[in-house]
Order: sequence, then structure tokens, then C-alpha cells
Amino acid sequence: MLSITLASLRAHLGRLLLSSAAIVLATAFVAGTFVFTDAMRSSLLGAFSQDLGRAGAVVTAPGDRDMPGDVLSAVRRVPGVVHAERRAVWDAALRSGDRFEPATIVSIAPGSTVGWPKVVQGRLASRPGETVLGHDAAQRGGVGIGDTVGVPLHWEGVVDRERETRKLRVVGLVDPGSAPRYSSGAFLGVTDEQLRELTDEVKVASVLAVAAGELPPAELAARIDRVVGRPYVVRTAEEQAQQEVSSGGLTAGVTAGLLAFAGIALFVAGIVIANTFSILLVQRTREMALLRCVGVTRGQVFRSMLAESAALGLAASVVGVLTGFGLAYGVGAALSATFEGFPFGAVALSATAVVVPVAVGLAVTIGAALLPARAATRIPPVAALRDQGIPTRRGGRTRSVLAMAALLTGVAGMAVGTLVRTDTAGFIAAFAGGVLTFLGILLAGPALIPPLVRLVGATLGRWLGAPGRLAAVNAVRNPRRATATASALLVGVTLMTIMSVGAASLQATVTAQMDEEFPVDFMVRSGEGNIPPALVEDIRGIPGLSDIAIVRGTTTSLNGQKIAISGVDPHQLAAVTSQLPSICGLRPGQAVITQPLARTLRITPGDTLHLPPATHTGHQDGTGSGKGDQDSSDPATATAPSTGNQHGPGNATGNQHGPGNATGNQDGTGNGEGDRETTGIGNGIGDGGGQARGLTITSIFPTKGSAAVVYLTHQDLDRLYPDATIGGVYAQAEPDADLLAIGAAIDRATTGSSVTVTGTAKTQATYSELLDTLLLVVTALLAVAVLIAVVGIANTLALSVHERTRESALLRALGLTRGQLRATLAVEAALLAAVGSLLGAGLGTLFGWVGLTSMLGPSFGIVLDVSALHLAGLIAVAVLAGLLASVLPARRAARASVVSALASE
Amino acid sequence: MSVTARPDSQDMRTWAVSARELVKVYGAGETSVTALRQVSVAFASGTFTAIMGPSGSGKSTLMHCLAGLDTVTSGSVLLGDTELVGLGDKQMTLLRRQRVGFVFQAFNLLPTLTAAQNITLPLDIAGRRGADPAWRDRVIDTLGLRDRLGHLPSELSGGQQQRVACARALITRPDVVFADEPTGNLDSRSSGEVLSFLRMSVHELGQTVVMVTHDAAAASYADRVVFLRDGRRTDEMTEPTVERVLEALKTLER
Ligand SMILES: Nc1ncnc2c1ncn2[C@@H]1O[C@H](COP(=O)(O)OP(=O)(O)O)[C@@H](O)[C@H]1O
Ligand SMILES: [Mg+2]
Repeated sequence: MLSITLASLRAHLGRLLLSSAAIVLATAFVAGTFVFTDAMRSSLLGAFSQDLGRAGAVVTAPGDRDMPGDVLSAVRRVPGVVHAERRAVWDAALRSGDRFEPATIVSIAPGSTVGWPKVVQGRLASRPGETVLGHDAAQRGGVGIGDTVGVPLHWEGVVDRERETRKLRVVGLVDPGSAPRYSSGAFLGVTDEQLRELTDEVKVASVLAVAAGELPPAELAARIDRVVGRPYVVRTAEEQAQQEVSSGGLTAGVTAGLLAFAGIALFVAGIVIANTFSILLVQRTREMALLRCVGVTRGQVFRSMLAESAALGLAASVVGVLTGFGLAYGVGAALSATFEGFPFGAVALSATAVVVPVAVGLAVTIGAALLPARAATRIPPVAALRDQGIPTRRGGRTRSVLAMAALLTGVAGMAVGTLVRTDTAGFIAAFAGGVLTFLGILLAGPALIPPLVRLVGATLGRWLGAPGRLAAVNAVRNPRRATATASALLVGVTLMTIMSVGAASLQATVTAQMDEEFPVDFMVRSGEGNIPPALVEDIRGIPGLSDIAIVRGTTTSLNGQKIAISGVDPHQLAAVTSQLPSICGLRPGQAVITQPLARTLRITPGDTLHLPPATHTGHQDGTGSGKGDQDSSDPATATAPSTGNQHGPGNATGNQHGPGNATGNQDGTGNGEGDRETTGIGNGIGDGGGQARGLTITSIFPTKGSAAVVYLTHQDLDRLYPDATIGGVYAQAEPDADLLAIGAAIDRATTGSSVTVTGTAKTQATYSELLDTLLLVVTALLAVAVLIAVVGIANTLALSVHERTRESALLRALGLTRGQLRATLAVEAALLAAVGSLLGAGLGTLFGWVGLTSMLGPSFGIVLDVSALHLAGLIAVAVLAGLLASVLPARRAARASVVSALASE
Repeated sequence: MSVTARPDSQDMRTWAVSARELVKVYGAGETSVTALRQVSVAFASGTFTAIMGPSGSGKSTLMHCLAGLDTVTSGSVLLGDTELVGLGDKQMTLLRRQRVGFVFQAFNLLPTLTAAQNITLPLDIAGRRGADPAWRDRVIDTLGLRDRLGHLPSELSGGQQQRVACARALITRPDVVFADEPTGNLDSRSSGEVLSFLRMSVHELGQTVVMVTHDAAAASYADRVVFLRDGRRTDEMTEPTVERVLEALKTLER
């Protein structure tokens, strides 16, 4: 039987070759993943073990706590230890003038024999007041040996000019190497004593031990462990580096992510190869029946089919592994050439990288052959004598029942997941529902896809003449085959669409939320209200900006509550945003206040607000985001500190309507319900010229934060608060301006001044860049699955061409030109691709929306969106790929001689 | 045995298709097979000719060469006044599409198309919008296919399938219809129907039919029989009867 298997393999090799490409691609992906992540890991290991230098063992405290001095003394006493030192790392800053630069400060023992960091020039710090500086930071800052650098004491990561700065003298320049921990900002090395004077908060502390002579690290670690014991952890240097690589989770995350995509590719490959086996089986029905006639048992037929698939799977997987290795090295090399510092080192091939892909490839191939092999055993011996092949089983009952069940529960799951309030359970329900729905669609394929193909085909046929009509019929003459072929593509396109729709919706949501809050392209704001007029002029000079609005303001206190006063020029503001009609419609004598303020003051539109004088002139905490306070929901970011001022009922309220009442005192206190002359609030506009501090509230500005802001015109501001300063510059970009470039120009103009730059354009540009990159990477990874599906189309077509040799010959005899024959096959492929990708785009859009909604919850206000361009591009590429897939089979069909094809059986 | 009609004879009849010193060699070198040796033959418009000969005598090969399905090694083939030798594949294909009809022994119809669609397939391929309706109806009615038009080939009997094939061959009103053993797979009753129709199409519809067959009964429906042996023209006969044809074949095989 084995000889029959081998002979049949040889005979069908040509037909199997193309489909085995699917397995090759998928296993190459798996193998490539392992090689790629192994290489990344080895490179990271190298980087992480650098700072351990010659140390053989490392002691760490659990939870990165600090390391007490007695542990160090204990380690020093361990026999075989020639040197031990305590290392502490502190993430701090370097200060030069008003500029702060992130810095990593490490303690290094004066006579260290660890050998890290490498001294480039000078020597290591030997006493407090001295430091070594990383050579690149020294170069950047133009600092040399003998110069001093400043380190803010007890730095906590917030720019704080008031904090005391310690001056340290640079005694040496060092190279800390490429460990990621030291790669951001400047590197400083000081004595342990100095470090502890600078801070109480070290981030990582450990004891490094260097062993004498030949003492193996494991033995060294064991000896130290006996001395220090719990709760300290002793590791060899190698173990320590491995621990650090793993704890970063980077390689594990990358491996898991890549393997997930490899899994998708394998799934698609499984569909393709199962389809191939099914088609081959139909073509070999007579052969199988003949074997049964001469006495081959069902079991032998089954085993023979499986043996064939095993041989194919093994061969394809081995080729796949080799391809994967090549690709991984290629991609890795390309990435490390493109991105400086991309971790990609040489790696010895691990057994996992060989065994796992081969095993998985083998399993998928054999698994794909199971159903066709079972079908083969059902071929009756008499089929050898019949003219027709086995009648194709109509879609099984079980299959339809399963499909219905999966679809119903799936849709229910998605509905529940979407409607349930934001919650992991909701997402899980929606996710499971989505997976079930998709499986249901795959199962229902034979009932779903052929009608779709017919529909699209009928439309196309009208345009493409005979080839179009012939193709439409051919594409679905075997519904199972058409379904499997389109389904393979469906998987990849659906996933790509989910990603695309997800990204588009996130982008739309971000845009919508920013528009709802304070929709200005670029906002330059100062927490201290001290934007110098020169900066305003600089910003005005940036090309690509069409309009500028200047916000000036101050703060005051009303009933003990701190409120921000924000003065705008309504015309200017209207030019930079169309979304703030209430503020843009202000006229002198009018004001708009934020909702929280309106609530505490119990003001409704039409009331009059009497503004007290500024509390501290020229300083407006309220306009501009306070440091660390990122209440972005706050227009003009005037986050007035919530004072917790609780007004009693009736306090400071007095809603009196009636023209002519132009009173209102100015002492900022009010009491008593119905008090007509309440402080702060009255009604009517003051008619007393400069003395009148009453403004009519025209509107309440809704905001999600707690901001207490009063918006008024520049005229009123100048009248009421002559010392107000510039707190914000709002800018509108020209319609087709390069937002990223403008953002960069604004960043350049504002470096050094304590302002924040935000805005819809800036945020959008940042978001879209991030989302685009993410989308690109995911799309590239999913492209493998789509590629496999395209191989599947080519494969189905090639096998169909083989089956239809005589039909093609007949058509050629009747006058179908070679070109028309090729076109027929091209249209057939394009039809399958179009239906697969159209359905995928539809399903992906649904899944993407359901997924996002269930993930973020209905209350999040997610805006569902699609990038029609992106989806159209996706479908176009899929159809184009389908057309390309038809090229080889079509060429073969067209080349066949009419006469010999007519004669062929 | 009469004198063979030569395409260059002074006969004023028009030749639908004619071949001159046709040579067809399959393969090359030691394994080459010469299927046709200097065959010259002509078929007048509006006649029904049978080509006969023992198996392997080159009947099919001759038909393929005359119909522009295959290239010739040397010689000349005129379809009407168009020289086929030297034409490219595209021109040959267009020529077949417009001026030649075919009926093969088996596998004449596309299994995915209905009878009606199969009949109009040549027009469809040519991108022509429908046939001359009167002609189409006449062909369909002559063949008695009216009530079978919506059926798929698998739902038709062998005889019906061949009749559909005949209808398809005629739908474009070709210069000549080639039929290669059109009744080879049929019982005698169905054969009779198909052959009667072919004859009718010549005598009543004015078509030209060239039919390859090795069946004397089939050949007796023709106006004229041309004999082949070992790739050579040997003989011909007009107004054949079954007996005369059988006799001629016997001499051939001797
Ligand atoms: N494609 C081919 N390649 C090689 N030899 C062929 C081919 N087709 C036909 N022949 C040979 O040419 C000769 C004539 O064949 P054919 O025209 O089919 O004869 P007939 O139709 O009269 O039975 C035979 O000897 C046959 O073996
Ligand atoms: Mg023959």
C-alpha cells in the first residue's frame, strides 16, 4: 500500500505543489517567529548583562526594595568574593539653567573591579561631590572633565525650579553601553554615599559580587545564598540578565503576538489544504474506486490518504522552516539596519524553532486531510464503472444546524456584549459572540457564498461579455470549493477590516471628543499666564496657520471659590473654532460661565454676575493647565482648584429679573435667600461706566471637568482686570496644512518656556501617526494569511483548469480566443476574491464596531467610523491578488492545444 | 471510381473548403508519425460529404486541419478564399468563431449551461447580441428542441445532446460544419435523427457539412464519400449506399 501511496503522491505532485505552498508559508511564519524572537532575546540578554560586567553573582531585594548595608558586608565576607559593591539606580534629572534633562544616576564603588561602565576619559568618582558623565550626554551638553553639572535634590519627575540643585564636578567620562535602562537621557555615576544624599528613593538596588579566579558563578551564587538567605534573591549574572529580559515581558509579548498571527496563517492554510485534498479526491474518484475493486480495504484507503498528507506536510514544513529562518534573518537585519538600537543579535537555532513549526505544519496538514480521507473511504467500488464522479454531497444537515446554532448564539453574544455597560464581561461576551458568528458564517458558507458569487457575477457578466458570464457560472459550479476558496480569504480580510475599522473609529472618537470639548487645532497655554508677547509673535509667524486667537486672563475669588477669568476676542475666537458659538457670540457686558461654576453659584442665563477684583494681579492660575493637572475637558484649561466651598442654600443667589436693576455690590460675599443685592450676582448691566462690574450671563458652557471659568470679552477684561496677562494662544491651521510640521514648529518656538501645547490638530496628528503605524504592522502580519488565501485561489483554479481541460478545448474550438479563456479564469478568480473580501469587509466592520463598543461601553460615546478608502483599497488589493493568482493557471489553460485537449479523457 | 474533383479544376462550383497537398507530421525524429500525406480535397458549398477510412487513417487529423483547429506541416487549406496556413492562433480562432461550426463525438456541451445557452454560445463568445431570431427558431424547430431549451445537458439524452450540438453548430450560419463521428456514441434511432437533420440542414437550409465517420450507415446519408487510407486519399464515391460503402471499405482494408 505504501508503494501505491508513494506512486500516487508522485503522480499528483504537480497538483499538490501549489497547495503545499500554503503550508510552507504558514510554517515559515511560525519558524520565523521563533528565530526572530530568539534573536531579539539574545540581543537583549547581551544588553542586559552589560552592566553586570565581571560580576559573577547578583543579590536583589524582593520588590526592588533598597538593599541594606549589612547585606553588602555579609557578601564581602563570603569566601571567594574578591569584590562586592552595592548598586543603586535613581531616575533623576540634570539641570542646566532653566532646562531639565532626564538622567539616570547610578552608584559605583570607587575601586570597583566590576569593569562597568567603561571609563573613556578621566576616572571614576571617588568621593561625594564628584561624578562621571556618560560621554554622549557630555558631548550633547558640551561638558568636559572639571566642569560641574547640577542635579535637583529629591527629584520627583516634575519640573520644579524652586527645588535645590546639587552641583557635582565631572571627573570622568564613561560609556555605559547599550542597556535599555541607561539609554534614555544622561548617565551619571556617583559614589553610593553621594547618591543617598541626592535621594531617598532609589529605583533598583542590588549587590554585585566579583569572584576570585576560577570560581564558577553557580557556586559563587550558592555560597552567597547560604549567607544572605531570604528574603534576598541571589542569581548568577546570567540568570539575572535573563530575569530582567523576561520581566520586561517584551520578548514574551512579541512572541505571543507573532504566534497569534502565525496561528491565523495556519488556520487559513488548513482551509486551503483541506480544499485541495477534497478537490483531488473528486478527481481521483475512479482511481480510488478501482483500488477498492481490486480489494483494497476502506482502512487502507484512509491510511493511504493520511500517509500522503503526512508526507506532504512534512516536506512542506521543512521547506517552511528553512524559508522562515531566511525571512526572520532578513527582516531582523532590515529592522536593525533601519532602526538604530533594534535588538537583533545572532542566534543559534533552538530546537523549538525547528520542532514546533514542523510538528504544527504536519498536524495541520494531516488534520486537513481527515475529512477528505473519510470521504474517500465512502467511495463505492462501482464508482469505477460510472462515468460521473461521486455525487457531491449537498451541505450536510449537521453542518446547517451547527451553522445556525453558532450564528444565533454568536449574534446574541455580540448583542449582549454591546448593550452591557462597560465591563470585561461585556467584551468577553462580544468577543465570544464574534468568534461564534464568524464560525457560523464559515459553516454556512456553502449556502451563503455561492449566491453572493452569482449576484456579483451577474453584475460583472453584463460588463465582461461571454468570459464574465462563463466565469460566473464556473465559479460556483462546485459550491463547496468556491466556499472554501473564498473563506480562506474571508479570514484575513475580516481581521484586517476589524483593525482598520477599529483604528478609524478610535480616530473619529478622539476627534469627536476633542471637538466636543474645546475644538481648536493648536493651543499654547501657560499655567502661570505668562506667555511673553514675543512668543505670540513667533507663533503668528509659523507658516500654515491661518488664524490666531489670544486668550488673556487672571484669577479671582468669589465666595471663597477660586475662579478663572478668561478674556477672548469673539471675532478672533470664531476664526479658530466654529464649535463655540456661545463664547464666540459674546459682546461687551456679557459673560459665559462654565457649568460647575453656574451650579455652585446657582446662575442661569439672563442673570448678572458681579466680578470681584483680581486676587493677585498678573498671575492667573486659572487659565492654562496647572502643572500635573491635565483636565483636558476644560475649555481654556482654566482648571480652577476646586475649593470644596460648599454654598448653603440661597447663599450668593438672588435671581431677580427685571430691567433697570443695575445694582450689585462688589465685596464678594453674599448671603440670604432672596437677597436682592447679592454680591457677585444680580441682574442688569451696570450702567456706571468703569465702575460697573456686572456682566449678563448669556449662556452656560457645558464641561465635564470642575472648571470654574468666566469667559468675557477683552474690552470687559481690560476694564475690570487691567493687569491680566496672556494665558493662551489658539491657532487654526490652514485647511490642507501639514499638521505634524506645524506641531513641530510650535514645539520649537515654545521650547524653554513653561507652556503646554495641545489641540485637536496636534492630538489628531499624534494619534493618527500612532494608529497608522499600528495598523501597518498588523496589516503586514495579516498579509501572510491573505497571501496564503491567494495561493488557495491559484490552487483551486489550477485544479479546476485541470478538470476542465476538455471544456476549455471545446470553447476554444468554438472560437473563444486565448485571451478570452484567460479572461474567463481571471474573472473567476476575481469573483471569488471579491466575494471573500466584500463579505470580510462587511463582517470586519460589524465585528470592529461591536468589539469597540463592548470594550469601551455604550456610555463612552464612541463614534463608529470606517475608512471607506482603506476598505476599498483592501478589496481592490484582494481582487488584484485574485487576478494575479489566475495568471499561471490561465496560462496553462490557454497554452493547451485544442486538438490534444479534445482528445484527452 | 470517378475522377477526383480537384480544387484547381475548371469546375465553376464554389468550394466551401479545400486542401491542397496537405501534409501533417506529428512529433519529430524517430518517433514522428505522418498522419496526412499529400492530401488534396475540396468540398463544395451546399453539400454533405463524409470522410471515411479505417481507424488511424487520418480522418480526424484531416478534419482538424481543415477546420483550423490544428496547424499543418505543409500544403494549403482554403476556407472559402481565406488561406488558413500561416494564420496566427488569434486569427484562426476568430475564423472558427465566425465561419466554422463543430459537432464532436462527445463532450459537445458545457455542463453548466442550459441547452439554449449552449446553442447560442458561439454568438455569446463573439459578443453578438442574439441570433437572427427567425434563423434561431428555424434551427431549433427543425431539430425539435423547443421544449428542451431550459434543460441542462445532464438532463438530456445522448441524441438530444447531439441535436443541441448540431443546433449550436448552425446558429452562426457557418461556411462549413465539421462533424467528427457525431453519432459514434448513439443508438441507431438517435443516429438516424441526427444524420437526417444534418442532411436536412444541407438540402433545406443550404449549409455545408463535412462529417468524419467509420460507419457505413452514417456515410450513406451523405452526398459524397471521400476515402482515406494511411493518410492518403484513395477514392471517392457519390450517392453512396450502405452496400457500396461497405464494399469500398473492404477493398480499402485489403
Ligand atoms: N497528437 C498526436 N500525436 C501523435 N500522433 C498522432 C496524434 N494524433 C493522431 N496521431 C496519429 O496520426 C494518425 C491519424 O490519426 P487520426 O487522424 O486520429 O485517425 P482517425 O481519426 O482516422 O482514426 C494515427 O496514426 C495516430 O496515431
Ligand atoms: Mg478519429
